[in-house]
Amino acid sequence: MQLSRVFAIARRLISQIRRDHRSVGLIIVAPMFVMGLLGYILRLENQGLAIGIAAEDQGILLPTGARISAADRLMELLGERDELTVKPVTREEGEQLLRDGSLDAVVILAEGFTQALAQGGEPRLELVLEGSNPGQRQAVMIALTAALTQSLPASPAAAPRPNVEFETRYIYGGEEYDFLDSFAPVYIAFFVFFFVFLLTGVSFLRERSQGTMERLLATPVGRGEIVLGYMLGFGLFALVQSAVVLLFTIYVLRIHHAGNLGLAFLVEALLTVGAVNLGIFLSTYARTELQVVQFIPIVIVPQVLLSGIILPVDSLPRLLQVMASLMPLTYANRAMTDVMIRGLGLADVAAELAVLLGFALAALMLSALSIRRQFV
Amino acid sequence: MDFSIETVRLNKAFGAIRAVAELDLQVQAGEIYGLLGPNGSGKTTLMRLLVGLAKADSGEARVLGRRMPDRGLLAEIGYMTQAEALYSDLTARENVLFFAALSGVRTASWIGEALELVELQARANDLVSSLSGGLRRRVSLACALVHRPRLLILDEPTVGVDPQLRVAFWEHFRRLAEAGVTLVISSHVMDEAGRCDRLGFMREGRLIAEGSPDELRQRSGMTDLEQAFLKFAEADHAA
Repeated sequence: MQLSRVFAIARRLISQIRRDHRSVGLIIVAPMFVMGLLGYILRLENQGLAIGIAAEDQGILLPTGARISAADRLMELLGERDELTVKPVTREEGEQLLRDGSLDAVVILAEGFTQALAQGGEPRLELVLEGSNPGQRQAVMIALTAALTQSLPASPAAAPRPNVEFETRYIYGGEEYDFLDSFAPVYIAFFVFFFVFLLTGVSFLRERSQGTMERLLATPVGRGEIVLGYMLGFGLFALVQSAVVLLFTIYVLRIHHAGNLGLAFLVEALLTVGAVNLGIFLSTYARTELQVVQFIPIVIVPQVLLSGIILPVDSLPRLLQVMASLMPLTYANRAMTDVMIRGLGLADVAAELAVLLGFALAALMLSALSIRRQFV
Repeated sequence: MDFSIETVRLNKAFGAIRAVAELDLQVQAGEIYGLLGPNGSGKTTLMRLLVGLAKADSGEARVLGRRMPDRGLLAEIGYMTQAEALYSDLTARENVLFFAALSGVRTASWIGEALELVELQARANDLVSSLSGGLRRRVSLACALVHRPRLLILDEPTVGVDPQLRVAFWEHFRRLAEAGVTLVISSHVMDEAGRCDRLGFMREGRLIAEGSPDELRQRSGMTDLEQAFLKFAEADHAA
């Protein structure tokens, strides 16, 4: 073994990589970018949980003439927590706000709650949750339990600890929904996007590097036909893939789903069109297959982090929410969750579908423009 | 006169390099026209201009009576690139079938005939990746002529093809020309250049001499075309 030969090889590799500015950028910048995003997300406290409190209880009158109410105390205690915002509502208001997403949970204190609490009875507490996100459910439960425990020392030490009875209801989904249930729809969207993007990128790059694109363009075929052909070919694979993943998650993993699978397929199809064309477009900026793969940290990873796969988009800080709103997966995820978990219909996801359609059309234009017959 | 190809002061530059410069070329229908010249003399660029894969900076290229680029005309043109340009994960037949479909071939028997022409029937169902370089050239040629074009533009079609098949190729080119097909063929190999009706010697993007092989030999006073080319190149360099 001769070290000089080893060094010669190492030196050659270093000068090759150094000449490839993009790879250098990727090696240095991409990890910082991804770690930065990841750190930002993981450090986030579960902020932005909004709880509505509906006090149907009037409280009790003390002998001093003052009126105390457990609802007021609870609201005060919950309000002290930074991650929560508390809002007094009525039962009907609360459920309405839950449905449109401006509240995450509603706590209803039934008539006679304070009385029961003071006298060591069994106070009934009704908790209504949005239900499609198990993470949120846990956060609400933790905050509420802590607040209730804190409020207890206020009652006479002699009195037996009252047993607060939780009665939990869900608008969508339910207790049996676990993390897998809530993630399955978004994972399906993600898989489709990821694989279709990568497959198209690589095979389009091959088309150019093996010279077949040149030959293709020497036939009467139009660039619209090329793009459409690619969409059809990979679209078929994408739909087969989503069908397999969907059936696997429903029948093998036994996830819960409530929605119209046809509508879920429509979402996937639109996403596929966008992914195929994004792959074609970006492959023009790659010279090797390795460079196509290098797009993953730029195109795929941020979408994984921000589009609602890991954390709900509205729990992200403002800046990241703006970034998320530019990503197609954000809309696909929202639509998939709406369809599969909330069981909503076409009218309810029309906005998301429109955005996905817009993205698909924009990508289509970019990709068609990138296939030029007269490419010098 | 009716030309299959007629270029008028055609120009194409890549940065400071003039790949095709003020080029006037005329090729008649049914003629085999050979383009000869060293690497980088502009043969491939000229061919790409004729097919419409590149856009001229100035000047005009009229092909089969229409000004290029013209996508509609491409069904009448067969182009074989210097690179193999095949899908290596498909079989020979699938490759021919694919390019036939793109060029609008509706007769299924044409695919078999194209494969037969290049003597590939036996290997038609083999993956291109399992074929040798010479066999791939044959598949590539079959792809270029499967749609029976009126004009064939072949960029070094016989590279890596063994001598026996090369003779067969040229016999076939001649038969096509007799049937009225126009062929433009670039080559390095001077002995096959002798089989062309007319030759154009290219240097630095220009045609420095043109004529039948015999004419070129006579004018240069040389007995073989390679010497003739060098003589013309020298004279051009001096000028």
